Formats: sequence, structure tokens, C-alpha cells
Amino acid sequence: MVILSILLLAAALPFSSVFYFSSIVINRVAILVLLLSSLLAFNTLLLEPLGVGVGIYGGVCLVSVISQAFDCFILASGSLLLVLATGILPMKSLYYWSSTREEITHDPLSKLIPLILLLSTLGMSCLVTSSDLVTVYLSIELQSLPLYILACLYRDSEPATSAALKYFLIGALSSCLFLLGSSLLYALSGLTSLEGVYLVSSLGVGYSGFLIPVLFIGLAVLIKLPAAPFHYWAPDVYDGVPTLVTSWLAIMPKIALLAFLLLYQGLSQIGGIVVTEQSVWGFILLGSALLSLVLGALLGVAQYRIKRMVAYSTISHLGFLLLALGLVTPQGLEAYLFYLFQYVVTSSNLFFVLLVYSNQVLETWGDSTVFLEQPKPEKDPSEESYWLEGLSVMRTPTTKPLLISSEYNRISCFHSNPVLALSFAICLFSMAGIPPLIGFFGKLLVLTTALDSGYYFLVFIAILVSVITTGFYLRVIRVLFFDSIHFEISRSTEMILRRAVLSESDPKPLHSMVIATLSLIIILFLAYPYPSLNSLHLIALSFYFW
Amino acid sequence: MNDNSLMTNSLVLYLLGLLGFLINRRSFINLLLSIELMLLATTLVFLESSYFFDDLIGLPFGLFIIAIAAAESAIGLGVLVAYYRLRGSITLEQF
Repeated sequence: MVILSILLLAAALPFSSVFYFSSIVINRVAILVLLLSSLLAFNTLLLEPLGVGVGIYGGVCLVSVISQAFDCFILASGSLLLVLATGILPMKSLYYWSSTREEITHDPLSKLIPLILLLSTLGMSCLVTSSDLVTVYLSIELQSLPLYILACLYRDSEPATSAALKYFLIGALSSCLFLLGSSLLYALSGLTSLEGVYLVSSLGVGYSGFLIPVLFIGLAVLIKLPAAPFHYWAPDVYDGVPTLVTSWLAIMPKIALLAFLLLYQGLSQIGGIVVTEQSVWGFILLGSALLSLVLGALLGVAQYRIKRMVAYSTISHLGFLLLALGLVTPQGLEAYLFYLFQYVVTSSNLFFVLLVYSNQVLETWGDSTVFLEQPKPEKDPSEESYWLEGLSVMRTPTTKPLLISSEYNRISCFHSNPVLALSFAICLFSMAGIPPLIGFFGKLLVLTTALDSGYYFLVFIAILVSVITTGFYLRVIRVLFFDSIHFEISRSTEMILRRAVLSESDPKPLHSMVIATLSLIIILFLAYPYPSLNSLHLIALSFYFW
Repeated sequence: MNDNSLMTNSLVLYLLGLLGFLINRRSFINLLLSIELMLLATTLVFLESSYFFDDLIGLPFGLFIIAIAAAESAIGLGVLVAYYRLRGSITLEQF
């Protein structure tokens, strides 16, 4: 909540400083703001006074240990992902490639990115504390409306806008579903607070009419996460929008919505049906987990564009998360929290690496004059491929060639930057669940707790599926390390690409520092796992047994 | 008009919006209108039930929904304009 005041400061910044602040300064301010508020959330993470939760603002918000922990985590990872935005030049079109670095840095659009991201982070941190349908709705909208804008940030690129359109439509549909659920709940009971629902359902009134609206709300959240039966928008959207935006879309709303799903499940007890065996909600959750696991892995194998592959692997990870959530035991909660933690660390590392690669390519292309003579942007965009005929792999500015995994070798082969390639490989291995890395422990925790609860079939499927996902991660690694370079494109482009390989424009120091830190976390988690595991254990216990 | 018919009316409105959203394949404007219809139908449900319950919570919720629906459609139209500038039409055939 403290972030609100700081957010106002950030809102005032662009107005007062159009003249002399560069976007980098504003971005750094936003990073510091997020870090500071994460620290504040961490400071208020007190087990004793918070206990089962303190209602604030007349009971529409509930601050409990777990919500504070999520708050802290969301803000911290938000600041981490904002680091990603520091060096990024908002390439609106190919025109901009001719403009100098200075012009791009002072582009008004790039100053807005931190602000948009801050707004959406505010929505997320409100979402985890809210315990009333009004605040839940408002904060879901607050976190998703800036994301629609963000997805449409590169408005001169066709895939980005159509992906933004898709994202907007799906988001609006899911919020309509949410509203339907909450309005029916209100019409049935006159309640909007989740605690009220919990009270009524635990009184055992036997009001089965509760079930339907409560399920609608849960389904709306499942649509917003791309959980399996509703996942079809995710690969298109993640692939269409620029990588910077993808990193935000793929990680941040997911943390907040999963946290909300957990709190919602706990608070409303889904109309008192979770605690019983054979509950409808548990069935839906586990079924969705199963579908996510299977579809994410099977469809991911068929992908050849790296961001689509990442999207499908995200869906498969979501399957693990929902499996852990559907167990409804303290151990399951612990596994859930840990899996979420490792997922965020690993995938933000992945996006950092991807973005550094794409920066390398863009920078070397940006100052090459050979390329800039060709573009004729006033042509019909659907004919873009013809002026880029030399680059058959590249259709628009946002779909950079490296996004196609088989094209990796041209730009980002092992020899151009071994350490970067190595950290990419580490991160992919961790996602696949190779033992010494952090991803393995996440999967291990989830699967063992699921085994303890007796879901043998699901565990079997999950293990099979993680083998399949390892297959497509390994394919990227093979391309990265072992494929030989073969050029089959026109000579001028070949020169550019060779220059891209040879000139070796290094990643920005901040980026490389973050990549190094995250990779080290992924590797060295084994050495000292106690702080994170113990704190997650405490949080899980406080959620259940306070 | 008793309360049941009012409630049924607004749910039917919601259903119309949902069907419009799902069946329609061509025009983005229709999709936007269907979303608006759904949002306003839920607003109506909130207002009616707050009237019948003599409860104050539903009214501000309805107001919030109206405000957010306006913001949402504004953003949707903004995205649509960007899309139109690039493609020259607003049909959604390639989805």
C-alpha cells in the first residue's frame, strides 16, 4: 500500500521532466521504488502480530503473512524485470533503426514503460491483499489494463498489435466471467466479501447455489492464467508481442493470479466444497493441471519459434503448479510456493538471456547502412516479406530471426559468447529438471507431495511429460552448441550476420550481472537451501495451522 | 415486474452478450459491444439485487463496473486503431 504514494511520484515524473530526464533515469527510479516497497513489505512480514490476518480499509483488504510474503515477492521480481527494460530501445519501426541512440533514449514512449509497469505492479500487489470481490475485481483490472497497453506498445508492428488485440479480448472475456460469478454470488447471498462466503458456507446452510458463482470466479482466473483448456491465446500473444513485454506477461500476472487463486481457495473454501473429498473445484483444478501438463509438453515439441516454445513450457509448468495447488495440504502448499519461486527465477533468467541475444542482433543491424536502404514502411504491411527478401526468416521488426530456434546458430552460437550460452543452457536444464539445479527440486517437491496424497496417475503423467519437455529444451541446446553455421541467405545479409557474430556487442553490465546472479542462484541452490525452504515451510504452516 | 423477471432479463442480456462474443467471427466492434453488454448486464444484476436486499454494497460495485467498462472499451478502441492503421481493415479473419 505504501507503493501508492511512491507511484504518484512516478506519475509526476514524466510530466515534469520531459525536457532533461532520460528514460533510463526514470526506469532506475522505478526500480528503486519497487525495491524499497518490497523491502517495506518484507519488514511488515511479522508472524506474531499478523497471525491469521488483519483486515484493513474496513475489511476489504486482508493482510496476512502469506499475502505479505507474496507482496514482497511480487515487488522484488517486478524490480528485477524492470531491470530488463533499462537498455531496451522501443523500436517502433524500422525507421527508428536509423535514428541515433540519443533520440531513442529521449523517446516519450520509452518513458512510459516504467510507469505502465508500476501501475500493473500496484494492481498485483493489491490483488494479493484483497479479500472482497470489489477490491479483487478492481485490482485484477488494474493489473491487466496496463498490460493491454503494454502489449500494444510497438504499434507499428503488426504481430504485436494483433497479439494485443487477442490479449485484450481474452482478458475482457475473463473479467466478464468474473463479474458474472460475483454478481450471481451477490444476488444469491448479498455478500461480496470472501470471508462472508466462507462463514456462510461453513455454517453448513447447504446452499449449493453458491457453487456455480464461485466456480465461475475460479474459471475466470484460470482463463487469465493460461491454464490448459483455455490456453490457446497464450502462445500467439507471447509470440506476437516484443520480448520485453513477453517477459512481463509471462511472469508477473501469473504470480499475482496464482497467489489470488491460493487465497481464494483458502478464504472462500470454494463454497465449502474443497474440504470434502471429490470436490468439484479440486476436480477442475486437477483436470486443468493434467491437461496443462500434457498439452503444454506435446504441443511444445511441435514449435519451432523460441517464444512459442517458451509459452508452451510455461503452460506445462503451470500444470505442475496447479497440481500442487489442487492437493490442498500444507506440504502441497509448500511445494507450490517453492515451485513458483523457482519458476520465476528460472524464467526471468531465460528472458534476460533471450533479450540480450536480441539486443546483440539489433545493435549490429542498427548501424548497418546496407540494410536501411531497403525498407519501405509505407508499403502495405502484409507485403513486408518482399522487401526483406534477403532475410526470409525475418518478417517484421519484432520477430527477430533468433526467435526461431533453428536460426540460433547464426547469431548466438556458443563461440560468440560462451558464458551467455552456458547460462542459457543452465536455465534450460533447470526448466527441464536436471538434478543439481533448482528446477529439479521444485518438481521433486511437487511430485513427492502428490505421491503422498495418492495421486499416482497424475504423478506418472507428470514424469512422462517432464521427459518430453526435456526433449524440446535439449533441442534448443543442441542448436545452441553443436549445430554448424550454414548461411543460405543473400550476401549482404550474410555480411551483416557475420558482423553480428564477430563484432560481439557485449550485453549491458546490468543485464549480465543479473544473468550471472540468477544463474548462480539456480546452480548453487543446492549448497544452501535452508533459508528459502524454511521460510516457505513457515509460510505454508502459518496459512494452515495458525 | 417482480424481482425474478428482472433478474432473468439481465441474465438473458448477459447470455446474449456471451453468445455474441462467441459466435461472432468477423467484426471487432461487435466483440467490443458484446463485452459491453456483458458488463452492463452484470451491473444490472448488482443494482437490482442491491435494491432488493436494501443493501448499499451493490451500488458502488455497479459504479465501479461502469467506470472500468469505459476504461476497458477505451483501451480496446485504442488497440483497434493501432491495428487498423497497419492492416487497413478491422475484420478478424486471420485469427
